[in-house]
Amino acid sequence: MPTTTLLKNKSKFTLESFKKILDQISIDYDDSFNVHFTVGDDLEMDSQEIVELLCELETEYNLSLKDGFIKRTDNVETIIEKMNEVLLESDEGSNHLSTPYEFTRIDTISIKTSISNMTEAIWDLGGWEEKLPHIKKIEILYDDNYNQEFYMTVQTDENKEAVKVRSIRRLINLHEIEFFQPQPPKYLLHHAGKWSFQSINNEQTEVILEHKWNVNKDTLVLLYPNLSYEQACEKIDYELFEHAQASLKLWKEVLEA
Amino acid sequence: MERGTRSVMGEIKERILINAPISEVYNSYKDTTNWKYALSDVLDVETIYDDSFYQEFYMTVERNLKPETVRTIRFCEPLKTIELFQPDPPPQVNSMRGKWEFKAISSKVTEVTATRIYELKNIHENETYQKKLTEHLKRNLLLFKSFNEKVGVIEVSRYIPASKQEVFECFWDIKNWYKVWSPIEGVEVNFDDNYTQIFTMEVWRDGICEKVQTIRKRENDQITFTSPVAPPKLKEHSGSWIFKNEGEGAIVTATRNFQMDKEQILEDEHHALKNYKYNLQMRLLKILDSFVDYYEHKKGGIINEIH
Repeated sequence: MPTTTLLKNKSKFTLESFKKILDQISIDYDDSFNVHFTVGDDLEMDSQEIVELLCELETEYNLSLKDGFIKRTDNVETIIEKMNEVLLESDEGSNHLSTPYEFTRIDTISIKTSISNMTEAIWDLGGWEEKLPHIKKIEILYDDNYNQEFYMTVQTDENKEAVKVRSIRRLINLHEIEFFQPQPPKYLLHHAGKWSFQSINNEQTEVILEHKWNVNKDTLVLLYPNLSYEQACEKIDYELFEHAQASLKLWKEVLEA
Repeated sequence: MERGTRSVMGEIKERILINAPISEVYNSYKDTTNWKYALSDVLDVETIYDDSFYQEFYMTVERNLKPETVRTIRFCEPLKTIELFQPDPPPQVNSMRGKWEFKAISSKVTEVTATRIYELKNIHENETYQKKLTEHLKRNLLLFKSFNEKVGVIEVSRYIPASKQEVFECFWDIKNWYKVWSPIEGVEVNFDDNYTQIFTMEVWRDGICEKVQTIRKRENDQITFTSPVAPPKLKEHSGSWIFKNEGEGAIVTATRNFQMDKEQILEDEHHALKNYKYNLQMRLLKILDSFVDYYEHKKGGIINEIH
């Protein structure tokens, strides 16, 4: 589901803020939920879900949180206190640090391959045409081993016309690849994201695919005349969800084959 | 590959302290619309994409008196770094990337570290290229320091088709400037021993006739000047005209340093500085262009007389 109005850094982090984050990463809780609930025992979150929670907090509040910031034994009250401390520290730059994106989504998958193989597979554009059937053509415009610019011709359905998109990426911290589309599809104003890889063990990697976007309100009305603004936003979110899921599943098939 | 033309990787790093809060300094670099106010050689910026974290734009700069357009892609991490690369790098290099790092030294002082990493096509050019790039980077840091510390700095040049000496004398001869630059209403020379000159000029600016006294000095290849009483809206005002041989003609560079007088302006100081700087820069270019026209007509006249 698309995120609703974003909480800015100046807003105090409350129980309601925490609930919203849980909703965004689809963690269920019932009416008895309160600040004394622990992450592990009461909310029954596993380590992967804790990573997702951390990522969601980072994205939503544009913070950089240390690994282990949230522990299984932490209760909600402790997390709220920690978050308010971090937000207070970053308050000076709050205007700059608020995320410019109205919508974000994170999709993850666990793939049986090493973190270096995983990063290499996503970064090395040379292998994409061979490995990914829906990629019809890759034209590398620039690559200095840290930054890339390329055209990618994609055809997801044989009955539909192939789409050519320009993408810009950079490799950061060895296991993160940021990307943005300088000329996004007509229904989007901005589109960016990030691939992050976390090693579970030598043969298993957690892949986190983040998408961030703003819709183009002017073209939305023309492209989806029969849908309300909210419905059009949901449609875009669903399409990006399908795209992300298909992409992650395909990489799993390719790398585990 | 041809022998002796191996490529080489190079890296340069320069630091500067700026007396301004980190948020202002970071924003001055991040907001590309600021660049033409901070740097005199930036002529235009055309944004292709900017969501405030990721940016792609064309920047047209003046290089060797000609416009040159460069496409740049930047990744902005708020209040920390702005990383860049040029997907169509300058002709001498295979790649050009870099970053600015911002560090708050105190609430009012920011350290900016600029790094450039490049792969030069010809290893033998490395020393010259590195020197030139370092000078350029240092200068950019200094100009952004001035911009953030609210000091106006301008430097613009034009080629004038006449000898350096002739052009120098023409610029020194303030009584006859009105023949070249029409907005001058009148000049009264108070003192002139051919090394120091004091004059009062009445000049039209934005529909108002300003009366400004100027003290000028000849110093080798330049005429330096100060205004003992700064022009309206300014607290300080000084500058120079620098003359350099270029082929059969001369390159004249106009420099200006100034500060706004907060008591004379109603708007925000930074906003006022940006507007004043931009207008003054345009005016200086018009003055230089009018000297170019003057000499071109003079040259044309001589040619017509011959024919």
